[in-house]
Amino acid sequence: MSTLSAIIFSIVFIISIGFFAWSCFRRYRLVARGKSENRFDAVGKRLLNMLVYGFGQRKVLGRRYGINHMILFWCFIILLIANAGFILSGLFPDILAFSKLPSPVYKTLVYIFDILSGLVLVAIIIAIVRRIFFPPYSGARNMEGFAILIMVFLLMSTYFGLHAIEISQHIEKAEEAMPISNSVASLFMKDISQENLATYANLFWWLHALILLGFLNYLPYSKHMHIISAIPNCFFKRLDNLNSLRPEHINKDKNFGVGQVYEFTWKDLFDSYSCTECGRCTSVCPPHLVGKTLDPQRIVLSIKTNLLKNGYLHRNDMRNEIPLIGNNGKASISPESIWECTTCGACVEVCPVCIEQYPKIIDMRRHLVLMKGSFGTEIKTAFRNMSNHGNPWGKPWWSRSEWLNKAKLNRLGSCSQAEIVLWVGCVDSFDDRNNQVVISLARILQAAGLNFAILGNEEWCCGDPARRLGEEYLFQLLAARNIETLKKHGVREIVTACPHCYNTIKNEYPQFGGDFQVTHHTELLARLMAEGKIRVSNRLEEDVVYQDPCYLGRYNGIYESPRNLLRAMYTRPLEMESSRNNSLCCGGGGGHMWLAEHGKDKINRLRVRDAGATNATMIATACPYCLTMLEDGISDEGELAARIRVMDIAELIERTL
Amino acid sequence: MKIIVCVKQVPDSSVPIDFDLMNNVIREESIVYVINEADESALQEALRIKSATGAEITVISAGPRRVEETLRYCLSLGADNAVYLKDEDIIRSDAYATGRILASLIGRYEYQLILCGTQSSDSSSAQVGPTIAEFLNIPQITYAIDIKVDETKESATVTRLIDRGDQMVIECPLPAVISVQRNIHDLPYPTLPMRIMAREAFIQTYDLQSLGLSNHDVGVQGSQIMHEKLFTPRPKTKGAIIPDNSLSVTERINLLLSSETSSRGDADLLEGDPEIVADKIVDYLAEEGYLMG
Repeated sequence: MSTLSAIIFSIVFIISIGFFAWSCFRRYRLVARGKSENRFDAVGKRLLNMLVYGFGQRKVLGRRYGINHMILFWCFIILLIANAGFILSGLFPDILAFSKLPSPVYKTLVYIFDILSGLVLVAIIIAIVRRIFFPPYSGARNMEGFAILIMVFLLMSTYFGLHAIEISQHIEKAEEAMPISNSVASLFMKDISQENLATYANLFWWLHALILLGFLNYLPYSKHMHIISAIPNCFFKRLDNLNSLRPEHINKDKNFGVGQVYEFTWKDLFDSYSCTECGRCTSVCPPHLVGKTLDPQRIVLSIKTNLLKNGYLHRNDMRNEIPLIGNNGKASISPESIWECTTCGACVEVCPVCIEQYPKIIDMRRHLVLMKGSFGTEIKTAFRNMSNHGNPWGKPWWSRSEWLNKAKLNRLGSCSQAEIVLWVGCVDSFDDRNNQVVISLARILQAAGLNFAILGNEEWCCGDPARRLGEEYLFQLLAARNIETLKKHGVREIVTACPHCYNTIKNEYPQFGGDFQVTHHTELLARLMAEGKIRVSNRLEEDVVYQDPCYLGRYNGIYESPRNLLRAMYTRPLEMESSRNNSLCCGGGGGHMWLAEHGKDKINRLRVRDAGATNATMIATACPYCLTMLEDGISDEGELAARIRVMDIAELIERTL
Repeated sequence: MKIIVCVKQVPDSSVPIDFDLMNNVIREESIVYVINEADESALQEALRIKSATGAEITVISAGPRRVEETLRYCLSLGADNAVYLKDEDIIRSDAYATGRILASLIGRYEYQLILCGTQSSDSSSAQVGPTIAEFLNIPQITYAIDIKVDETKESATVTRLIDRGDQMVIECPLPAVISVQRNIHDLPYPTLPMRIMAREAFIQTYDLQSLGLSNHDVGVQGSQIMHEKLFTPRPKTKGAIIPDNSLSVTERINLLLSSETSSRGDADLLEGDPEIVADKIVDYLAEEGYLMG
């Protein structure tokens, strides 16, 4: 390298670093316009998440080809050292270079660099082949994807080219430590004259340098921004299971929900920068799987596009602002897709870079409900019913405990003297089929000698459907009412057969001063069984398969209690192909239990076909929504109706007592 | 343009009411009070006019304190003012007394248009709107499903529902009372900022004295109609001629199937000018002994 080259490179380098910094700053400023949110607490936990999900690539590895990405990721991190050395030697030729290091150290380094660069090249070729022949999602064959792969491919090719030339020029001190570069040299460089080699050396050096700087500057303008933002995004990950929604403070003169991109929090906006467009969230999204418009990846990307398009508008130009919600192309999100979400959480679960997709959808629902009042009549009716009668169906509130009449139970005591209060929930209270579940549960509890009570007609809807459908105000009214009732009766411990009530009371009521110890019936039953208070006569041969309710599994991590119960009752419980944290929603969450599902296929039908594929004759579940949705699904799937039934685990236990 | 909308708070008729069978009374706490559906339609029609041409909407109601909730609901939907006559006894008034009281309340305000629901879901007389019009001595149109207001001509063009799904379009000078059919709009849902605003909004409250009325004008005393007894009607059965009991079941069924359908009784259809028809009705009621005093 001549001094002139060094000077030219210095100028190029400073300009490109400056441009990169400016690009990042512009992007940063847009994110900083988002609403505030504290994601800097519990630094220890956050660092751990960053290690596990960011550096450990835990969720990337969960899928095929994940290992390919892992190799690229780690090789890249290590090769950053090589590239730093490369740049330093370009800026300060012959002064700063790895070759100045003691020979053994230098040799080790170049050996590692050489091998890793080879690995990267192989991984990149695999990635290109995959993208062409086995695209992971429908839009995978896009220019952007190939552009970055080709850039990395060229970066590695020039790396080997440069080193092979240096070996051929006999100026490389450690050629024996560079097996791949050495082979390249002996394969391609043998017949080239020393003079030409010098020219090529220069050419390859500049090519490598320019591709490297070009790559750097391309990042902020592409989906590969995730190379910069994904690791911090894992640091900023929500620390709970994302099982509670952010409360709105009900004040005057306030905008509720998100109707404009800046009404998102900075983390929501940062999420959109981190999207790698891998398509995982979309591939597991239940409405998407049955052909609806919802596409969680598109939602995240629309937020990004909207932010970038509106963010740089001049203040006087605001009338050209593209609305966030509407049908205005890529930069806006259609209201239909917003209403289709079942809040099953599969998107969040599968996202390799810890993006929180569905809470954004709820934020936008809040805007449509609280600020616009524009949403379907079905939903309005459900809200009115919850508000007037304390349940989404609009059954008279004073008939809530009528199921007791058919239960033939011993007299229940008062809540204040009971060990535990059984929270019945709207579905188990009012739905004929689900009445059977709470009756079974109550009988088991009495048989186990547990002193429990119910709130009777004083219990109102926990508010889950209202909150998930965006009616935060109604939710807060219902929550306040129930918390007051529970406190009035001195209730401390609650058991419920509904994962939605469970999640709401356990994880969301504390936001409003309601701290109760909440147990799901499968947990309580598993405990009673372990204590020997419930005894199952003999294990059945029947083929049973368990449906993980989203709000029990993904939301609250309860996978084992229901399975333990099933293992105690059945010789061989089966598993569906997607189960536990990858379980598929029944289609009833997010308020959809009370909304008609349109379209050719339905989520519940899809799920019962999954169950049918196991050849099970019984679907066991632990959620009234799942029970209703799957039973409906089975009756829609004519062929399955004859051979599969759905029952709650409590009903199954009662049968074997 | 100033629009007055009369609203009534009624028990939610979408759910049954709980009876205390031991004491033979309605369990008051089982009743959920809501806005009368047709009145909600009237308010929505007023809001539609407001958004099209601009208008100031005043909702009025009468009844016990709980009526305030319904008025606040109307404010949250976009009504500008709320006025109510606070009186416990008014719920026992008939359409005549109610119409008269509302008319004297409305008389204190400026208006070009008075809207109300066609009928309430609880007493269903469909008479309050017409009564108000009579006391204010202005035109009335009932069973409206669409209203177009022309402010320069000071008139309204109203589409009303008549028999067998037919529609009639009438133009009428303003001010007028128009009673609106229920369910002509989608269910409304107030936005949260409006609900917060309505929670604290001022509601102009009157009592009987301030309207120059007394206890004799409301409730049973102020009413023209007397209730003899209150009961749950049996479902209407179609009148069928029961064939001779001595015949066998099969023969009786065959007889029923073969018999010609009879006409729906011998009703007289009164036709002609409304004033003349009204006179004829009064004559008939007097003849049959329905009128007292």
